[in-house]
Amino acid sequence: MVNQLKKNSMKKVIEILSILCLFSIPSLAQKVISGTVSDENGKPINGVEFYISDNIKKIGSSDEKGKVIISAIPDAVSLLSYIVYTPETRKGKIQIDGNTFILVIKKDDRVINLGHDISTTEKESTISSATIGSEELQQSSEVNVAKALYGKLAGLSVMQPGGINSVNSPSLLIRGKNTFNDNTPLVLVDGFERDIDYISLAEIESISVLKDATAAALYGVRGANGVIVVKTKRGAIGKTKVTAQYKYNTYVPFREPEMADGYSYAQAYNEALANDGFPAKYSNAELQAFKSESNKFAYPNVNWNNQVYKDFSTNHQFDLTASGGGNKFRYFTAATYSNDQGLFKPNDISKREDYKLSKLHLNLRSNLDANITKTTLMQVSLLARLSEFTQPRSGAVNIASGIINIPSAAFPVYSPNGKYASTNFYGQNPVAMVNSSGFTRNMEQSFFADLRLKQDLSTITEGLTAEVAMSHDFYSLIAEFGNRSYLYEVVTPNIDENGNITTSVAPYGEDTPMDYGDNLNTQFMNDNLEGKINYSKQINNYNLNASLVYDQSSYFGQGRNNTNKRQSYMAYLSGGFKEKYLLDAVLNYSGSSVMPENDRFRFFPAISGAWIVSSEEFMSSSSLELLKIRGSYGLSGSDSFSNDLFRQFYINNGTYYFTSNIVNAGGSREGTLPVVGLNYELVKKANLGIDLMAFKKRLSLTTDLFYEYRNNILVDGSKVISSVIGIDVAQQINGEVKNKGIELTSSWADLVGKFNYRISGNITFVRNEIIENNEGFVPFPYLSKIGNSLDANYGLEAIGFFNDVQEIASSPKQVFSDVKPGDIKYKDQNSDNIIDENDVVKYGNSGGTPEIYYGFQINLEYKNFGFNAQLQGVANRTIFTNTANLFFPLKDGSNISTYYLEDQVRWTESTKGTATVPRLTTVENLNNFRPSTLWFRNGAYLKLRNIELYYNVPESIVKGVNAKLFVRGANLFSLDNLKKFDPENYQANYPSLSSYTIGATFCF
Amino acid sequence: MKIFKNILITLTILGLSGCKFLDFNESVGDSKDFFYSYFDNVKRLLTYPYSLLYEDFGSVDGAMLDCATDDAEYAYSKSLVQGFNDGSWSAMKTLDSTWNVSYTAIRSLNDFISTFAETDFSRFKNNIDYAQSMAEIQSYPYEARLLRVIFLFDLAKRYGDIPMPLKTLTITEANEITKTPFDDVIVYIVNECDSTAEHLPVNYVNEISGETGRVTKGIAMALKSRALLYAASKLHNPGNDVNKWQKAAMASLDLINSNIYILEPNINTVITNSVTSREVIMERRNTDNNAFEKLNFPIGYQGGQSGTCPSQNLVDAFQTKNGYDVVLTATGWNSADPGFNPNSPYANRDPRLYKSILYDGATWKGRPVESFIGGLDGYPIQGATPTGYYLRKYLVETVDLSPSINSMAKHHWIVFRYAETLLNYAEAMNEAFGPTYSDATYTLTALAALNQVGTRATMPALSGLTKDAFTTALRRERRVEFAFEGLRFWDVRRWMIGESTQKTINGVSISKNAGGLKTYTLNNIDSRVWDDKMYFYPIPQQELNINKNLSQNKGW
Repeated sequence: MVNQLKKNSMKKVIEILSILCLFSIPSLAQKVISGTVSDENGKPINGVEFYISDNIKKIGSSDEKGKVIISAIPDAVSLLSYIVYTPETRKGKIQIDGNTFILVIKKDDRVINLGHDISTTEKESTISSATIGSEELQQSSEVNVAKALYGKLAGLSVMQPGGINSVNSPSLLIRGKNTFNDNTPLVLVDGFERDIDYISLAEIESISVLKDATAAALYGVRGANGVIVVKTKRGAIGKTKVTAQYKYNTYVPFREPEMADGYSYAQAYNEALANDGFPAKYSNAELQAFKSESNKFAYPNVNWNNQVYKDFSTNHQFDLTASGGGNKFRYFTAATYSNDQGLFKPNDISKREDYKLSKLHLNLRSNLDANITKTTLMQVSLLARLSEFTQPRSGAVNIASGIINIPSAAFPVYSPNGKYASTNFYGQNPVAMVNSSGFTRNMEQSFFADLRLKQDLSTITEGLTAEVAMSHDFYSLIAEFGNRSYLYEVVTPNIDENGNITTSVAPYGEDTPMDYGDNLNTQFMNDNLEGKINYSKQINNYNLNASLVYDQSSYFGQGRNNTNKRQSYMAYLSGGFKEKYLLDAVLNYSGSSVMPENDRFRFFPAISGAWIVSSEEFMSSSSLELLKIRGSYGLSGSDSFSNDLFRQFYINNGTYYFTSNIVNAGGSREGTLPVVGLNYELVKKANLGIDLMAFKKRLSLTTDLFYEYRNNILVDGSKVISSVIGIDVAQQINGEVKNKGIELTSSWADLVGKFNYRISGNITFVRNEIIENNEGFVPFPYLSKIGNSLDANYGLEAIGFFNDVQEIASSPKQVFSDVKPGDIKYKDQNSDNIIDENDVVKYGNSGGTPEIYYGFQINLEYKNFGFNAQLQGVANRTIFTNTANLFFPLKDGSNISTYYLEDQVRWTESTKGTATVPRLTTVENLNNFRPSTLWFRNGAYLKLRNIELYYNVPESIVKGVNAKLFVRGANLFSLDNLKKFDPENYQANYPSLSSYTIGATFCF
Repeated sequence: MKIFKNILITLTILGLSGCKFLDFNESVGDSKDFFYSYFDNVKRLLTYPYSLLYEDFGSVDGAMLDCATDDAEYAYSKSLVQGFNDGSWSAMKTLDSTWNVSYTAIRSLNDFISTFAETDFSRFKNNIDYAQSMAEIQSYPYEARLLRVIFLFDLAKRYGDIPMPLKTLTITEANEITKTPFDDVIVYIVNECDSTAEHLPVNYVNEISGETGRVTKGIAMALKSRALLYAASKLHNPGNDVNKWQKAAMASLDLINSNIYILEPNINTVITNSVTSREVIMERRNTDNNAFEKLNFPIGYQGGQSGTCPSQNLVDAFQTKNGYDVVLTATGWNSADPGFNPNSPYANRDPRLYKSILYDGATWKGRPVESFIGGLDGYPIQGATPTGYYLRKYLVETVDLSPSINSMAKHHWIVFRYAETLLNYAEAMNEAFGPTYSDATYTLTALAALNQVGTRATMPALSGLTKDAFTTALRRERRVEFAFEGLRFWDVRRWMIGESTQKTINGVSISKNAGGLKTYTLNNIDSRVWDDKMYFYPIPQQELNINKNLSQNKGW
């Protein structure tokens, strides 16, 4: 009978889809019920909306006292769903017995969005996830959304990028690395794949990180690296709410590299030359001239940092949002503006060429919800983003590295004639690069639009809904530029025997007028279409939610052969029994255009379950408010490889010369072989988790153990295919990596009188291991990378320095370059008396990607004052300090840092016993300047990511206005081993920044 | 309502026709079919293997392979070429990339040969230039087959028994291929030479394309001559089967009798770097370049790096012009020639010395080379020649390396020239019948062939030699005639004279005395490691690790 019914209803679904005829429900017998809504502390909640079926057919909402009266509700309906949007979306269902009800909305009613417009709540979830809400996000003053996530979500590692802070974006990893190839997680904004960089904090309601198999399987060929789901805010019923926020940030460089002054540089250079057996470059008189700074043109001492950078840079941010609406129509709209000015000093010489480093953007967001019929909800979300990034034509990063690369003693800023100075070796002058190289202005336009229609189909059967969504995104980056070159003069000094300094000057290059141009640098479109049928039903103690989803996406890049399309069909089933036993299952059948025709689709199944032990009878007397045990297992994939890998082409290569005139003739040949058996990277994920709440929910704790095994990874085939084949061999899909780890999130929160506090933290430990990398035969077992981490560092083992020629003669031969006393001595791992590439060993388990990533924070509030502090750190991270100038000084005309000169002890005859770095040298010393344990450093750090002090202005001061005033600091300190450099940005790069913010928020 | 209809219609259609959504192909690459649809492309495919032809303008990390023989020492002691000499050469550390390059060329040729055979060019018959194109391409399959055996011979002379793929291999086939014995490879090469020679033109000057530089009938014959000579030599013919020598002699004689090539009558006629000399059978061509000059100009000339430095061992092989030996011994120059002046040891020598070697006092680019101690090109200048000599052959004197001029010249590597055919014949005849034998079939004596080459260089004709004395004379003749033309390395091996010749490398140390007279002192510059395993190259260890059907050469 039930089967028959189901069949009938399925038939009806099909019928509906084919006849495409929709109509409103006819009136039936009706009743009136009333209820009250409050939170766990008994505080009434306003704006809770009630629906008959999922989120479409609204039948009432609570008022400011938490009261709700629902009239005209069909007699047959006994289950209502509710949703409330502030402070963060919470939802749930309530069983109606009789005419009154009391609803307590709990913390764990918080919604977790899974994408595809499927959501669950923390209480009912069986998956491993972590969510951050708008309120917590708003504690950050970062312009880039991802930078507000440092250490906030267990399992998500966010590493600060190098480069210019207004345009760089951090690298995101969910549960570490899992493949040799692309580890980037999938980021969805409102259900569609979009770049998180284009969204501003004010638009976001929540960000969830979905980590385990069930969530990944929902995304089939895209899910393997985990999913980040960003949901933007939507309007809730009620009068218009306006939020205005202004922030003023001041940035100061954090641990700018310090370079040697002119005198120290000249001395060091002479020392290096002497070590290499060359005569000194600077005479004593010249050294003296550097020291006394008697002639700054001839013997300069330029602090390029001070010449180019200001002491601080600034950023203004202004956000304005408005939301509200009624039963038929709701809106959320936001305008966010940011104006970031970089560190370069203004051009004092020519206002006409004052192209500062600056980044402006304006985001305009409109999210509209319209109940266009009684059973139809239409949701429209639009985002227009305009941004403009200007920098000197030389490039801010090039200028930043020029500052580090050009010694203080190299040349003055200006020649005695007032022209820019430089030398033919360097050919550039950092001040001129800022002021006289022209400009580049990148103008980005992005437009995200999506439409979602949801139709209640309870006329067919109770609990049935259908929806369709489509999106169209457009992005383009147009660069406008002005190019010019500048004249510089080479100042040649001369000291006569009396010590008198004279200079001669020779001009090079020329000042040219600006040459303007423009380019369309990037352009792409992203189209998505999604259809879904959802059925949700509660029968007795059984709770069922089933969805059938069809999903397709297209990415159209600029130029030819940059299109990617994906398609998936899936069934999602979520069930519960007595709110104790929960089960989710996904069966996804999806494919991607990067695979050959007829072999594109794969099944990605996953299952997860949870047991809420605390709901069992035998736990009723326990002090545990929640004890939930979760488990999941399933398959997902990754299609992050290029088009055409399964195809072979003929390519042009080689030249020969025919005829008696030796005429060039071009050759062609077979291109790289196609990949055999190309397949998606497939990852099996297993997860076991426990959620716990105790002590009247003051303590909450979540821990997850996970194991992932990925195969089909594309790896180099040349080590396992004989070169007798005579052609460039393709990659093979042999790579295998496993990854395992543990996460822990915990918090303690309480209210003591008017003192409200919360201490929370999370930590992730993750370790991956290469199972197969196609490395083929390795001559010595320790050279094999199998069993090591993907990121592990490899280098020679430094065992000190050669102290004299006898020691060199009696030691194994080091083959990289001629060795002199003061050079690094390495260990002969294979005892063959030769130090070569076969003596390289693994160093540590991790490289640049940390194995341990953690964050913790304290939130305190007393009356109207509050304080937040957030720290984030990593451990088990190794960095290779190989940056020229800073760590590898002087060679190829490069500079030397005070770190090398002062903080380290370089090898000299007199420091033999205590040296920490090798002798100075001016030549390309391949023996010293290569990966070795001498240059590997522990990359662990603990940083203060954010600190905030705020004051909530009482509403009594300005009636109807809630205001918050705050001061903040970000990235103010770091505890680490590098000390003089930012452990996340220790290259010759634009400086890392600390920020200080003052701001105010007004809500009315 | 209408909008839902439309949306749902779209959705239904997409759902039904879903499989089509992913079906698109925006590839910009050219498939095989497409590629063979144009004559130009077919030509390009055959041009590619030409571009891989072996040459040795410093093929081993800047050094000529001669630096791994007793003919030369490389100036830079860290060059990989020293691995041949210091014992560090191994299957793990292979020193020459011929294995990869040759198999790459062979695959492209296998692909070309099989696809060309299947391509029906008549579909282009409406093209305006159809007739001309068809005429041009008719020799292509034979060119390809000849090129393929040229590359196979490059491998066989290095490795002995080799994998010999004659079709494009799959990954599995490549990883499981077995070796073909050296003798079978030679049989295959000889057969291919014979059958392609019939179809290839003698010269392309009169062909429709005019594309000289393509392989010819004469090249097929020259390869056959060399291949059979190598196969008859001691290394590959331990039982000294005379029949092999006879076959080698006949192959050379066929080319001699074909009258396609001549010895340039005048020793001063330019042969190296020439594409027009009638003595050159095959050259590996290049466009303008000065890398060879940069590597090998003496250190005292702008831009020079000394590079491949001829040894005293080689200089000792050049007799006086009267045919007497000159040897530098521990006690000084030693020569029975009454006209020899030890104060002027390089005067009146075999004129080929002056074509091959820059010695102290030789005029180069407007000044004498000064390789004496303290001279412009001598010790103790860093990078100066360790032997006292610099390379002359193939260098173009007019090339100016000063940055402002940086002039270039064309360098063409001689693969085969007629003098070699004559000496191949002389060697094979001597081994088969003795120095003065001739008959109706073998119409030329060994001695006559040898003397053709020697007298062309204005050296006195030889006579009255025993078989062994002839062997000695012939080996010297090959060494001086073909110095730095890439033959010595292989001659040392096929004659199996490594142990006796390859261990001691000498140079000369010249000091200039107060009166301007120079003292020449023998200078042992290198004591090298020789092991008989070096008669063959080691097969790269990685190949053995991958393909269990391959075995390593003896001793490695």
